[in-house]
Amino acid sequence: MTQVPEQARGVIALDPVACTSCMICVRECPDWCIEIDSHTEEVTEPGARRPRFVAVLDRFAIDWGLCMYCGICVEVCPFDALFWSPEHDYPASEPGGLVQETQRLADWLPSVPQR
Amino acid sequence: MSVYAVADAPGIRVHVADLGMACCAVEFAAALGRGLLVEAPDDGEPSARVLVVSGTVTDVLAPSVLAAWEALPAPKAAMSFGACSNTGGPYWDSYSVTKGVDQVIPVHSYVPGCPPRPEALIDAIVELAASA
Amino acid sequence: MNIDAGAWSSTVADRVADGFVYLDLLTAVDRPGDGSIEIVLVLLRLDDAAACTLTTSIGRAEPRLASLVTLFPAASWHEREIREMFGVEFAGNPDSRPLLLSPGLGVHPLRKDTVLVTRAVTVWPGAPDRSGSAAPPGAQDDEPTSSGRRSRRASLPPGVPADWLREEGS
Repeated sequence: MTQVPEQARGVIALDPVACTSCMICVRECPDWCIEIDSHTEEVTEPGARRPRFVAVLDRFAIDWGLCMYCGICVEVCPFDALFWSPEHDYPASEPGGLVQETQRLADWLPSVPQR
Repeated sequence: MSVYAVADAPGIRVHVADLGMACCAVEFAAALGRGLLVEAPDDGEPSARVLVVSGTVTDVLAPSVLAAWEALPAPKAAMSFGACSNTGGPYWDSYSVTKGVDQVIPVHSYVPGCPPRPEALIDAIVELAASA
Repeated sequence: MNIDAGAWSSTVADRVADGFVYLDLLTAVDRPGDGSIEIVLVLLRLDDAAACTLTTSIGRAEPRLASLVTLFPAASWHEREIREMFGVEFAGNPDSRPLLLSPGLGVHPLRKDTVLVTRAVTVWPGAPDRSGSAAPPGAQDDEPTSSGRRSRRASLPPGVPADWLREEGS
C-alpha cells in the first residue's frame, strides 16, 4: 500500500492514562461526537489532612461517522491525552460501527509518530 | 460507471459508479490521479459493483441517490464515503441534510473521514471485493 | 440607502435608469429584535464600477414586498430563495416553485428563531449531568460562585440558545 504521510489526520489515538475525564474535548467538539463517562474516587494519602478526589475514566468513545477531523479536541486537551495518527483503514460494515471505545482508541497509540 | 483495477491488489476489478455529491468526490479523483485505482478493460464479471456516495446528501437530492442505486444492476454494494454521507457529519444539525445516506439506500461499507484519504477508499473497495 | 418598502420597485427602477443595470446581490437579514426583515439589494453600474446598495425593512409577521422580476428577470431566483429562507412573499413574482428546500419543510431556516431540531433534541454529551461526576479537575478546589454563573455556562452547549433547551427530563 502507498505510503501515507505520517502527519496525516487519519484517526485520533487516546492515552487513557493521561486522560483526566475533564470533559474539555467533549464540550469543544463541534459535532458532539465524543462521549466520556467517569466517576470520582476518594483517595486518602497517609499524612494528608483531608482526602483527595480523583476522576476515574470509565468510558471514552469517538463516533468516527460523525467526526469532522477538525482536531480541536487534540488541540484543547490540557493533558496530552489525544494524538493524531495516520491510520486510515477502519471502514465499518454496519451503522454505528464507527463508534470506537476506549480500548480501540488506545490501540491506535503505537501508530502515532514521534510521541 | 467505470471499471477499475486496484493497483496494489491486481486481482480485484471493480465497477464503480461515483456519486460525487460534495468535496469528498475530490478524494475519489485523487485515488485515480495518484494511480491507486487504474482504469481497466470492461471484460467479464467484476469483483464488485459499487455505488460510491461521496459527499453531502440533502433531502432534496435523496430521491436521485435512490434512483442511481436502483439503476445499478445486481449484485451491487453501496459505499458511504465520508462523514456527510455516513451521518450528516459537520451538517449533523442541518435543516436540509439527510442524516446519513443509509436512510435512503442500504449501505455495505461506511468509510470514516472528513474527507477520508484516497487510501481509505482503496481499503474499503478491497474489503467489499473480499466479502462479495 | 434605506428606502420605504412602498417605494421599493420605483426606486430600483430609477437606479436602473441611472445606469445601475447589473444585479449583484439580493438577499435578506432577519432582525427579530426590531420585528423586521431587511431586504438588501446591491446594483452595479458597469461603466464606472460604481455600486449602489438599497435596503428596505418590512414587517416580520407578514413580510411582503414588490417583486423586481420585471426589472431583472434573474431576481426571480433570489426572491424564491428569500421566500424559502425567510418567508417573504414577493408580489408579482409568478414563479411559485420551491428553489432549494424540500417542499414540506415547514420552516424558514434563515429566520433566527428557527430551531435546528436535531441540535435541540440531541443530548449534549458535554452536559454536566451526562457523565457521572464530570467535575473538571481542580473544580473541587474552587468554591462555587454565589451567582452560579459558571455552572450555567458550562451546562449550555455551544450554538444552542437557552430557549431551545428541552425541559428537564423531557
